[in-house]
Amino acid sequence: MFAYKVVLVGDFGTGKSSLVRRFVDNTFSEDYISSIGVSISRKQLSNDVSDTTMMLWDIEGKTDFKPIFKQYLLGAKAFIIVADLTREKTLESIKEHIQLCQESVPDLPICIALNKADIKSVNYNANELKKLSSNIIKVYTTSAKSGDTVNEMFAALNNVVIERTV
Amino acid sequence: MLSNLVLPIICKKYNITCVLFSSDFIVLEYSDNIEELTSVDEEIKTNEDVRSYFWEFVGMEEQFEELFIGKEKTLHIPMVFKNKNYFDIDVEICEIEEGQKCYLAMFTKQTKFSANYSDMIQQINHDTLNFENKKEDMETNEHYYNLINEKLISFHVDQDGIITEVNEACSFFFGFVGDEMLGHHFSTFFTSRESNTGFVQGDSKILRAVDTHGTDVFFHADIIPIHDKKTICENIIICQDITYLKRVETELEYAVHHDSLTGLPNRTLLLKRLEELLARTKEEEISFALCFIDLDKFKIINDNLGHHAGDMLLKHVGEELTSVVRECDTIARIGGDEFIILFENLGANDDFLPSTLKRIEQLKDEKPLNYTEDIIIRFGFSLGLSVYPDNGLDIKSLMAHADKKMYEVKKKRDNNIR
Repeated sequence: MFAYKVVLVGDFGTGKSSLVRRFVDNTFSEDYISSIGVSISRKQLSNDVSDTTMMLWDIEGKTDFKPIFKQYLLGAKAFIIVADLTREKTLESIKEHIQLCQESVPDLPICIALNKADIKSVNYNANELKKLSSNIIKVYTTSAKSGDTVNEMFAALNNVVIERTV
Repeated sequence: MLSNLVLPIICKKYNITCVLFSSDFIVLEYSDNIEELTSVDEEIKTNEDVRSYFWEFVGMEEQFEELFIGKEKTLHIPMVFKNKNYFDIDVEICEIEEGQKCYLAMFTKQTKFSANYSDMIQQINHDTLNFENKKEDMETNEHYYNLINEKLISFHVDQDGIITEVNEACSFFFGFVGDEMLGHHFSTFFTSRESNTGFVQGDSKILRAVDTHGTDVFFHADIIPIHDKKTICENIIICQDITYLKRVETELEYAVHHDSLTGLPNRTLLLKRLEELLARTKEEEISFALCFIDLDKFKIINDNLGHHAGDMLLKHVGEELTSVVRECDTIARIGGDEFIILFENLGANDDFLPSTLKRIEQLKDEKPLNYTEDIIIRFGFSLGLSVYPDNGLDIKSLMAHADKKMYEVKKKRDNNIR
């Protein structure tokens, strides 16, 4: 079975771990536990073309005093850049994360997950975000809490990876 | 093999777990403490693909290849969370037999350090997240504050009422884009029933202004003094649009002075106009008349056809009377089936009053109410007239005279019918 690596990148506290938990275990916790280092989860997927195993790298989010460790991005087949719709600063960081991903592994498909869509949102322009890179396949507004658009996003990313690889 | 490469005693002391695997990722050997890394249901076996157990190696084939060919000396993956512990992973190339190279992965458990580090980072991130959320809330509040400010007109005036500063909402209201309002007295733009000389600190005023569409807008203006050390140098005027309150006031005023069924003026308004007229008589020679009208047998209509029919008849009579009189005259409904017409501005030899009374009398025969297709309600009434100053010099005597005359007519008609 084809197995590949997807890395979730973003500022700290944007809900990367929650998205992974929702996708892999279909669970959610209100408690905020900041991820340290990297935690790897696995999810079996299938579409019309192939059965696959997605290895999800839930890495420590970027903070003002600690950048993202580039080593974690190596070997990825796709990236999910996660921002928190309630914190404008995390949306502003998307550009920087895209740059980091593209420098580490060029020309990979990227999904933008604008998470926490279930709570109040700051202003954003999805079209402007999409224009940040031609590698962005789509900008999703997600909610790990309600599950909205989470599976849809991972499934879409899986389809693109299969299309490009298998 | 492994014991030759890494001393077991060192592995134990430094919490290192090792796995040896071939260039095609087949597990060759592993250290005794391997259970630190793998779960019970995934017991590691030799001759299996190492990537089945160590997911962190999936996708890293290119990096392993670089190790294998000597392009890189080590592959380092820090702080991988496995089995509730953090491990630093270092992969190197080793030679197990002459010419046979394989990979040696060393997993170094970060025990006390990782726990402390993890707690510290989590605490920092937790605090920072709280701070950022609060900051966002503050910015949101500021956003709402600005939205309110966009709607709330405010301006500064000095002690003489000269405008020294205006906000965007104020300029926008009057259709200005710059500082056109500055240097002008506030009364150039706002009018007030009270004095326009200036503002009294801590006071409030009702201001009126005309917007760019020509609409009258009323404001409740709060006056906030700005103190410069011990003296007051300016006032900030904050204007709240109360136009809707003015509309409510107008509606209430209308309701107080009009009859809700017919829409005609009521007794209160009639008396007010009479008082105004009598006040005028002290300054000018004028004449006016009061005409009392009482519908005949109205109770019978109500009893036989119902109150709706009675109400419709009252409306109908009111409308027909309105069509006969002049705009300057007042028709008031003052009670159940009683109307009073106030004829103003009567000339000395004017034929207006007799001809109008004649036309009113004709309404009885000519303008019945077509209540339904089948029911036509004919009506009659009795009239009583009093003319100022001939029949009285005050409201009471004028109304008493008209009332008396009306009942005389009614009585005479009733006697004729009998």
